[in-house]
Amino acid sequence: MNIQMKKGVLELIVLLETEKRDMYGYELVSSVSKVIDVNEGTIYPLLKRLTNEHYFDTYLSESSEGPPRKYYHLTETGKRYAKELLKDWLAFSKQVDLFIKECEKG
Amino acid sequence: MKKDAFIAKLREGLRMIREEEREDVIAEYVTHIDLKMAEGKSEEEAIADFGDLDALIDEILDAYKIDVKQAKKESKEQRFNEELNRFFDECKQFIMRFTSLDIDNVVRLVFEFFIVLLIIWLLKIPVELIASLGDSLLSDILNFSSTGDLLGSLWYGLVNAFYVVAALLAIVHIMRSRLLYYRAHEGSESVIDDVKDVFHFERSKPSRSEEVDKREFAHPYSDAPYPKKASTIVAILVKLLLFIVALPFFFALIALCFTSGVLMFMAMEGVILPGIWLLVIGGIVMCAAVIGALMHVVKGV
Repeated sequence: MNIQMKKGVLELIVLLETEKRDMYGYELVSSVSKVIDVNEGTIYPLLKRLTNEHYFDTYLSESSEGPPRKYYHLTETGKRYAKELLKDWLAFSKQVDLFIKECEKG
Repeated sequence: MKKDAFIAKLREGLRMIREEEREDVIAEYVTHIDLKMAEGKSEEEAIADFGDLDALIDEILDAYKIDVKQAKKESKEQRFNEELNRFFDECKQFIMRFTSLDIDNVVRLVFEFFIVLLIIWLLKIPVELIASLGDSLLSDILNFSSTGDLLGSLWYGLVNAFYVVAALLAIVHIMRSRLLYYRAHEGSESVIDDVKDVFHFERSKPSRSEEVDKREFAHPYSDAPYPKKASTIVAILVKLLLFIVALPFFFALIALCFTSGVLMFMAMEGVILPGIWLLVIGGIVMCAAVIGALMHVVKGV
């Protein structure tokens, strides 16, 4: 898959994943990797950027094994942003789908 | 790549980010690698999954809204400046290791070194005169024979060798006492005083009150802790040199005295030559003055 397309949709997937429950970095990377094949390293900068833009809150939580994990919690602004992004994506993909179908018809 | 190397490179790549933020990002990667390894992957595999490290660094910087190209350029310039500063610092330390002086004093020392060289070069003029005079005299007296030439060359060589040895000793002595001055602020303040000291010119004799001052402030010059051997040898050599310089004037004086005797005899005979009289008297006065001055210096040594 084209890297630019991946980048655009990666943000949406990350936001939707964390909407259900708070997740820690590695967990999030694993679940996103299941949806699209993405370089694992690139998700952390994205999380950092979204945190800096106040879409995420972070907190540390002890785990049964290993060091404490940093959890990402989607804020209210984050949720609003996710909704908007989803709406945009749906409209966008609908348009693209429509266009492709028209192209196929000839 | 091992984890430590990866972290070190990441830290280096992200150095323009605030330390707190940078360590935060790095901690995430460390946790990621640890968890990957807990799943059974090797350290190398876990890190290989991140792909190209430079691309990853660019991505992280991009997340901080840092213009990667601009930042790299700036950091390059910054690094160049740092290197330059480090180079200068090292030069400074290199010099200081030898002299324990700061850079200003080193510059002054070098400048003074050139002054000393200039003074010593000027002293070459009388030495050269004596050397060539002796050379031609010996050659002439011995009628241009080979022994005369040989003796002349020997004389020339000896005088020049004497000059070189004296000059070297003088330079060593002066620079040593300058160094001492800059290091411990001991010794005389000006390089000229040191030059004078080498030649043991009498430094203006202190009056009684000045002597009292000297005692009070315990001028450290007289009991400076370096050996005086070199300066004694130089003093003797200089004495000799000055004496040799005075010699022709002395003979000239004798000759002029004879001339005045002859002139007196001629005057009695009735031949009066006022011009020659003036010349002879002027010559006598000049020679006496030069000999007096030279002997004063020799005595002062």
